[in-house]
Amino acid sequence: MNTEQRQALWQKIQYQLYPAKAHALMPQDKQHTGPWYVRLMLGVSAWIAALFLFAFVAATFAFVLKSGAASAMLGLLVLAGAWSLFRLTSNDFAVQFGLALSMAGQGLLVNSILQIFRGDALAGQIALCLLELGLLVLPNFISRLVCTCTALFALNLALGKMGISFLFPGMAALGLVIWCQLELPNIQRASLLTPVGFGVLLTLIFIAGNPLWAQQMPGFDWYLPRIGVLLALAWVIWLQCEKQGLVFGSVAGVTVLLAGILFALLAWWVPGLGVAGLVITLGFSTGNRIVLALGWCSFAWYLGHFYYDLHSSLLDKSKLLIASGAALLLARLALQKLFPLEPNHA
Amino acid sequence: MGGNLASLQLVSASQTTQPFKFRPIHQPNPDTTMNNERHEILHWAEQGHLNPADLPAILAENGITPTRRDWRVLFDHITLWLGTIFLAFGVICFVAWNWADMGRFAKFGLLQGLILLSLLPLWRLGLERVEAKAALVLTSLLIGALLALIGQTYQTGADTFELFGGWALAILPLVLLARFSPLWMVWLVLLNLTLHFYFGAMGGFWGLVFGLDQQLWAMFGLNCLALCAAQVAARLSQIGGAQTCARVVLVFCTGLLTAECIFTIFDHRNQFKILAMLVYPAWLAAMFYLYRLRWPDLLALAATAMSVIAVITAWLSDALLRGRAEGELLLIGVVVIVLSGLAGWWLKSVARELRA
Repeated sequence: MNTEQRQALWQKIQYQLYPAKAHALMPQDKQHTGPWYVRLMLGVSAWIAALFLFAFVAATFAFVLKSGAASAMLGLLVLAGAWSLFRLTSNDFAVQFGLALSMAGQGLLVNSILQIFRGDALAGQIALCLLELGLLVLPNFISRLVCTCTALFALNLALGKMGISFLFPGMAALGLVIWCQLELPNIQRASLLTPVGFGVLLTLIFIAGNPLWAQQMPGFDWYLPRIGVLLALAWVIWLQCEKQGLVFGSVAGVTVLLAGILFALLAWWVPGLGVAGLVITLGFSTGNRIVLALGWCSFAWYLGHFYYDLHSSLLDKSKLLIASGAALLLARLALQKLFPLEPNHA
Repeated sequence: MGGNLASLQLVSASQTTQPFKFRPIHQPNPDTTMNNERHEILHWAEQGHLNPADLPAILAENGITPTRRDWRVLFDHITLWLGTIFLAFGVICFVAWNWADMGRFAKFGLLQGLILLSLLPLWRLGLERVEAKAALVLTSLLIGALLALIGQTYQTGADTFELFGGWALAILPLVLLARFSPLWMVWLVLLNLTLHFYFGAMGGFWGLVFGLDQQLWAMFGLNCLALCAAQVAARLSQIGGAQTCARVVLVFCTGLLTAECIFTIFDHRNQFKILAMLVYPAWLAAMFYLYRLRWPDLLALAATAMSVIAVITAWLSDALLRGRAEGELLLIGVVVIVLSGLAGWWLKSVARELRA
């Protein structure tokens, strides 16, 4: 959006809020972080730089990587350097250096945990999860996103070790819904909540919806993880119905209930579909197009996976997909009869 | 507050319908604008210029969070598109199952009948309605299933690339008729798969002649053509989503060329070294001219910057990392940081310029 468009939006909001008052001037644009793809580019570059820095430490101070304590000390020192750079300056080069340092420091800490908890993987995974959550203090979007993803991966592994990995998708899905609920009331903490929310979202899409990963987990159960995700989806639908003032006894309410049941049945058989449905619903209900786009991409990914899924035969998949497709098209016809779409007069 | 908002009849700029006119590609499309509006509003609230308690109402009033009608429209799209895609994938799974209990004539009859059925809505609806586009997508996917069934039934000995190539050729008239960006993307994916499987199949016999380099160059050439077509379509036609398609293809092209350059850097006897040395700088110059000077596009510039960083890192790694090279590792790490810092600074300054 250019200045003119922002000015128009600001004026419109001011008029909506205070129609009788003189309108305040549009606030100055203090800092602009750039769109998501610029952040992605910076994040990937920082990760490449961190790999070289880590390799430098490994080649020069080999003893550091062999000792858990030394690795932890150096890692903390490097992270302290990253924290100072983030706090003290907003210079692009310094921030990028800080980001590379934070990733290299995290690598050293992961190494120290591997060394210290060599005989006890579960304790190591829990320690890593807690450590990464602690590293959320580093005030940088990409660093916080990476920390959240790493912490959740460690949590998933720890739950797998305990034989209850089926709980993870439900927990992550619930976390995602809570993030969407907290986003607006806590907007002044967006610098922390936004990267954490996106971290939960990306991990949920990768781990919970991805049967190839989930199947590697001890205590893996084919269907149980889907219950948690579908419950989270049911909660989101309930919240939206409340927001839109929908009465469950009404025709519209019964239609939503039937649509929910049809989707739940389908998501029960197609791995990942529940996650995609949840992400799409959340993205659409919050007006967040990035979340919505991620939801559709994950849907395409899961549908592609479903073709190669060995849990059911191609004939069963074929029956399920054809029946669902026909049901959806019939449902569309019924919807058009029951609730005809009127032209938008807004 | 709620009453004030309800009494307003303001129309969001993104909801107004504009008559068609020649549209420069860098002009934001409504979807992007809506996300930008949300971002701006949340940014103002984060800075304390708006009360967080007012946010739900502000977002609703500006058409960012959905109304009941928006949900109804979403249901309409979801039932149509998921229904179409599920039907098509269901039929593809059915063909792949190769059910022995069903005779070949029954299978052919079923598939051909389905193709005819899928074309029926076009008689009544014409080509412009969304249902017609869905019907054309369904037909295009079913034609692929039919071609697979022919190969499966008669064991034609054809390679996989011939299936995808034939499929792309067979649906070309439908793609042209539909004037629908997602179907163009499906067609482009089919062509890319054709090239991928072609070089994969031929590589086994003629490893020296049909290698990975040729595959990357061929795919790069194909996608460059597609990029030009998408750019022209985005400017001269009303095909919705052409701009998004152009950006996806642009990123893919940049990725292919970057991968090829990295291969030629590490492969010292690569026969395409000179070609890469000529094409890569030309590509960078074209990107700078087109997407910085002519039609500023931050995504294209970010992809190009990432490509430059990757290629320079590969070149430095190849040139410096021999034997024990601790200092060189540090040097490369610092160079990557400096380059990415420079790219970040430049991209943010372009973003500021575009926002001004």
